[in-house]
Amino acid sequence: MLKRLINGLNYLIGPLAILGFFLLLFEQTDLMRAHPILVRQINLSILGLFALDIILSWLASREGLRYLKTHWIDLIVFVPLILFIGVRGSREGSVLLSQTAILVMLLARMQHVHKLITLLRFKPAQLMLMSFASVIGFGTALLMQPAATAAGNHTDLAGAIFTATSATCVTGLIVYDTATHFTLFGQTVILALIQVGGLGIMTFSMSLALLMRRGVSMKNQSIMQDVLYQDTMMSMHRLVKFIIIMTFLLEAAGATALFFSWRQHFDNDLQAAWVSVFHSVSAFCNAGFSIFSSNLVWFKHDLPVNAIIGGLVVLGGIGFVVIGDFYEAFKNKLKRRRGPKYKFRIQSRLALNLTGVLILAGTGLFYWIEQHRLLADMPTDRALLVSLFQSITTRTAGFNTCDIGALQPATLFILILFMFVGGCPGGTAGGIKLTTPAVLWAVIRAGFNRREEVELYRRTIPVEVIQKAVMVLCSSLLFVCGATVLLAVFEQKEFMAVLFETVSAFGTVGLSTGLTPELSLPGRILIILLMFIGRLGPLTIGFAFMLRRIRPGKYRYAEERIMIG
Amino acid sequence: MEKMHPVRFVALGYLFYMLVGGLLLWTPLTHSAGSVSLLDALFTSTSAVSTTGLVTVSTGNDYNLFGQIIILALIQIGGIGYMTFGSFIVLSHSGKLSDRRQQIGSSIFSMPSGFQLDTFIKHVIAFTLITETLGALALFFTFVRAGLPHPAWSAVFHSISAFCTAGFGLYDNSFESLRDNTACNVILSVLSYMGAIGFIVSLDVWHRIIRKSSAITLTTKVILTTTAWISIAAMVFFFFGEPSIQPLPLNKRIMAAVFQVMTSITTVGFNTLPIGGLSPASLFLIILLMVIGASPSGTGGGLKTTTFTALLGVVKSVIAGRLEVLFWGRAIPIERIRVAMASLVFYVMSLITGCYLLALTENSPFEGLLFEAASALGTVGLSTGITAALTSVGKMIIIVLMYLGRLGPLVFGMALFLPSKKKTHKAMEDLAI
Repeated sequence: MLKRLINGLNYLIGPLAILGFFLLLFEQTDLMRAHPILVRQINLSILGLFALDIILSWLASREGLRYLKTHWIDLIVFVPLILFIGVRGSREGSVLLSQTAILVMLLARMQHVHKLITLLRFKPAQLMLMSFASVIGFGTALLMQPAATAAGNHTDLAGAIFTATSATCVTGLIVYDTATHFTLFGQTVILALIQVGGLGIMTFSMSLALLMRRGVSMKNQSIMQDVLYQDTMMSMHRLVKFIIIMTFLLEAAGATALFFSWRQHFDNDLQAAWVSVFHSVSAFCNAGFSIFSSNLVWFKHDLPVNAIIGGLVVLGGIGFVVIGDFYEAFKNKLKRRRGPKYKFRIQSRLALNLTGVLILAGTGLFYWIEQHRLLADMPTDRALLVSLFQSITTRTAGFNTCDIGALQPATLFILILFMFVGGCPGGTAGGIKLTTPAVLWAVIRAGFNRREEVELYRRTIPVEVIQKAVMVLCSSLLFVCGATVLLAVFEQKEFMAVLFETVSAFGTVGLSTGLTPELSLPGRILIILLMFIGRLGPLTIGFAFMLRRIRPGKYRYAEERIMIG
Repeated sequence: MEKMHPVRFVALGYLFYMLVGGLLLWTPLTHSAGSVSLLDALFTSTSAVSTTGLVTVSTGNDYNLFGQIIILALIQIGGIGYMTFGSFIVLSHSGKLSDRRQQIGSSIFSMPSGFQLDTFIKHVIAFTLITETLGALALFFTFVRAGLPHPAWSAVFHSISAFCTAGFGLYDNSFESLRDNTACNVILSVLSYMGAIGFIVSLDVWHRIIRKSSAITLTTKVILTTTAWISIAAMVFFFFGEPSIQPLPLNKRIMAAVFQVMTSITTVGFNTLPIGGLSPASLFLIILLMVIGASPSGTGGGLKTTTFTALLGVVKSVIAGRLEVLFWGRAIPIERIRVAMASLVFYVMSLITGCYLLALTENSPFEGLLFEAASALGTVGLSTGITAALTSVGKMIIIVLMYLGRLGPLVFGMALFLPSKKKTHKAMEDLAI
């Protein structure tokens, strides 16, 4: 009986520890100060449950004082409990003491959380979803701290969640001006979230691909298959190390380059360095956050800045398959001068070709429509620079050197399409990814040529990949269309702005015609969800929420044709 | 003629009717002299043959009775022609024709002595005429009671226009003045839904009702279920989400919501509310409905409910980690999925291109242009009111979109139906339903 009670309590304690942890983080924020009694009661009940657990375990162990000797750390729980009950008023000392005690105890209890995770046997997709969610939660808590907000400003809960989600999902939509609303601490939190989110999405997607190649578990194969084929025999550990090192190297190089081109604009070098680091990381992670209030509009004619930021954005968005391929090719060249040339993977060739084509096409279309409108008072070379930068950054980064709200509807429409398509898999880019339309195009071409196999670069594409491409396209369209209808109901604004906003959020781009700060509460929640879904992608979301486990079919249904078109 | 590729045959056939109709509608015999330009005549003719219903000139005022009769004839030809082809493709898939198909050989148009095709087309025409006559009778009494001028001609015109999902009307504000007339709403909705689901499905349902056969075919089941679900969901959303109908009393509000959703999903294109006055959210909802559209065996346009359901099936099966796409416990062959995907891509690309070109040539707000393009491509005929004000280039773009919207799904359907050069899997083909 006692054992059962303890067992039941053990299940509860994992989530409770997480709850308590966040409660502790939020305690100093305005939100919690508004309801002191409620916070106190929740704290008290959590502590009570912990205390109950400890007492019951002690009773069950039948070891008496010997148990206390080995588990003395558990006794800490009684310190805040006594303080809470005994001391009515909140004296500085007692509050600090109780909080430290709770923190120590929570850390001691973290094994329960671990136990919970292993107990539930999460799928990789669910793990990915939860880790992003907890990073966002953690970031929200930090942004809610009074130290994060500059004097005279106020950060509410929805705004903090919005900013944390936007940073973690490397989107760049903002309800608060990053430059003026947040303190240096707040900006650091945002930068850290961008870095964690960017690295997270890269390592996660690449590791999943690796796992799939290894055939870790046949049962979960479909979960792993989302990303791409990884042919080199790099171990997961090495892969993650490679990604992290490459990321930091490229970001450091970008920051150094930016530092020298920005140095002259700032009074002291420290400030210039901070700004350079921020923008370098933000560009490589394709986040589009900027600590200039007008984003990069000031530097629209600054060739070095455009080149550095644009280059970082392309590198981040092109994916680690390509970077890895270049690395291997480079290594090959160093090792032996002669011999077979390193062969780039299909994925890389596709990514490089399509990225090039799209950047050029975007530049051309942008320039063609806007040359007599927004770009009318610029010389051709400067106008082309603005067009090129916008073409690069639209597909998922979200920096801007021109006023997006002032663009022609036709241009906005093109930008919407670019944002929807996005970058390449295996990088920090969002959207449906370039490979999806490529596969779909291959399918249509196969149909025209009346070939049964779908081919791309002289390789046959398996049926699962085709189905996934169809799935990604259809569910993305559904998400975007559904969200647009809902947002249009919530906002009652111009339709183009609403559509632009949803696609920007879904593609984790971060461009906006200016609607974001004016969003209503339901609108904000919708955009938060959309950024989250867009970041993880329809496949991950689908796999994460699929409750039934996949079983190999014992039987197969009869086929039947259904009419289409 | 017999050697001609069916796809080309259909494409040229539609083009021929469009041009002849355009010329006829241009001649001063059909309208008061000088009021209709050649482009407008061509626009009207394309709109009629493709059963769309977008108009740049007023059918009721600018055209005389003769002109209206020609428009009606074009609608009827377009509607029946489309339904015959569509139904035929459906039939050939559902296995009913398969043994005959093998005798017949490679092309539908080289059928010997037209034994089954003839009767089949006769049945379709009979079904069409009977439904339209009944609809016209019912509308006649409604119009008389409502005190409209020329009730007989108006009833015939609107009955045919509704059944063929054309949406051409003799009144400039469509049915806005009859918004609260229950009978008119019901009759038009029934006609449109019957036209949209088409002959095969109606026949199937009829057989089920009189218990001639106990089972409904899969295609019928998919069409009915999908149409019903989408309609209901959209109606609920429209009822709550549209601000302009909120002051109406409950029953009228429901009726207005039902009619507007009906008119978009069946791609009829009549309206009882001014479309230009709807909120952006409702406009976008209607755009989505217009894109999904009606069903393959009927006269409606759009991407088709079956395609939509098949694509949803893919989404579901990928999530479930299945290779087969299942529908009510039946696997769909992969070629179907590929065609569904190809039509989706074709449709979305046409819509995007059309919308982009319109954004370049026109000066209207974007949602109006997107709406117009979706309406033309889905052969619906609803408009926010910018059709008459389009530039010449804009009108041509819309003409092309209407033509593509009518032809595209048929071509994709036929590409499926026609035997490919390679041998298809025999085992899959003739499974009973």
